[in-house]
Amino acid sequence: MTQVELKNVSVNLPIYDADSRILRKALFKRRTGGDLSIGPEVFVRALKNISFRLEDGDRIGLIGHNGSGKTTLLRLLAGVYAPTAGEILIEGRISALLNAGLGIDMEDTGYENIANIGLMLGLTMAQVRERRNEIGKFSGLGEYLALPVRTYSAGMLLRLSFAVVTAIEPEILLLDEGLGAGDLEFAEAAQNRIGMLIDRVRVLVLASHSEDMIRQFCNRAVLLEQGEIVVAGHVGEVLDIYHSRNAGSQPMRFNPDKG
Amino acid sequence: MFSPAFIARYPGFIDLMGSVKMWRLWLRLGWMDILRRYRRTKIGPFWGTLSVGAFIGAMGFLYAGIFGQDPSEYIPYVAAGFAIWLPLSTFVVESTSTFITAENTIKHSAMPFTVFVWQAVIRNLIVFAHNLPIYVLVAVIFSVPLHINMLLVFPGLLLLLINAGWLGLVVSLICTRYRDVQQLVATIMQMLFFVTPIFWQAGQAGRVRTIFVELNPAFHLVDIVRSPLLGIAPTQSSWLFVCGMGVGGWVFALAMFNRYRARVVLWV
Repeated sequence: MTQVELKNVSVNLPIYDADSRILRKALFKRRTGGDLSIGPEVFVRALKNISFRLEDGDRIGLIGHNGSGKTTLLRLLAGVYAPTAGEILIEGRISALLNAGLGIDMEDTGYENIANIGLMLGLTMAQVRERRNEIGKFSGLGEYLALPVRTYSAGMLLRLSFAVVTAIEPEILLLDEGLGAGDLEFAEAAQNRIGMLIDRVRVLVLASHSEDMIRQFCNRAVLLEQGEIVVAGHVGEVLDIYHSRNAGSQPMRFNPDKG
Repeated sequence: MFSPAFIARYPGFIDLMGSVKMWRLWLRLGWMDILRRYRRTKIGPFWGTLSVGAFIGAMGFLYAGIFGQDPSEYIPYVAAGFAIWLPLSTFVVESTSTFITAENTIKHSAMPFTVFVWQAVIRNLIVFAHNLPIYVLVAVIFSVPLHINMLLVFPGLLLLLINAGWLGLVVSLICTRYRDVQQLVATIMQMLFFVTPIFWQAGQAGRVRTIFVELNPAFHLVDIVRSPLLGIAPTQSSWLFVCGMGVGGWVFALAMFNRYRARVVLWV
């Protein structure tokens, strides 16, 4: 049974200014019992009271403006951020594809990077060996795979990392939009490969600005605004609400809390 | 496995368990770091070995003269001590940027952070292995006799690695939070090199022996491997000191890691 459950989860992200990064100043602050110029810790309430439950077969799309909390929510589920309050329950193996450049080392060859990243994503060395040719073939890099990746163009680099990170066997897949793309010819192949990956997973959480992607891959959607869930439900309905709220679009607000 | 409450309470411990399971990854990453050095130059890390060799040769004779010591005893002593000290101090200084270098991975995946600490341990262990031929050469030239005590190098090295683990973790954590500590660590390691018996011998310390030898953790860490290399059994107090420091250090490091693990991603 694969499931993800969030109960009233909040995430506060403190903002560290240059002064607080200096030990000398931190010590001084302690001794004088709080220097006024430094002040109390400032933080952003990135997620507020998020609750939802995902089970086998759920493909959920996260919708919202930049800064609405989509990436924070993905990072929370991935275990990058810990909840400030609330409870997370996860059963099943999580794979997070949040960044295309994960684990790439410029000095290593394409093949070596395939192994490095594969191991980082939880494959065994045997699995890496088994999939190496398939990954290499999909990347379309041919003999370049034996060269250090610093000789690659940006597009080739993207092909390589995309080919590796999509070769995994996740149960729960977290996907951030920026992953695909590349040149047009590759974009289509990439889209197909993402589709095949998504078919293999039990639970999908996809954050994207692309409504096409959300409509194609998701059966549920969640609209986030300022770190809160505005509405959750069927993809079409949620997108409609998103559009209607967008009509009177307001500028981004930054409300740091002091505590 | 572990309950969600346990995971939330002891994230540092969970991280450690996770990285132990991923031993293939950090062994590979540490080894790859060395391979990259070979790629840039034909003899790779052996450049470091050569400079260690030159340093030991020159300084060994000079200080044997200054201290009025027998070169055939003094030079193997310096060679063994320096071959250990250099990777050890490099490791501590490199640890100041362990998490900062891994920023991309830390921000985008749930990879245990201690993977990067072990990677640095492995990397410098391999550098130490590159320094060993210098010691062997010196030992052959000055005919250091083979002795059963030399086998103690294995438990000694193991204890050194256990201590390097917590030390690297603590330094990584502090230096990710407070960026000015990096400079401080480099300075401390430089100073430790001079106040620790590496170029001078414990017996020469005289009245200040207690402070600079008996209470000096760096002395015990170096000597637990150096003495066996020379065919001498480390003193009982060294074994006790290093074991105690390993246990105490790990308790401290884990308490700190449990408390601040979740914050590292916000600091990098």
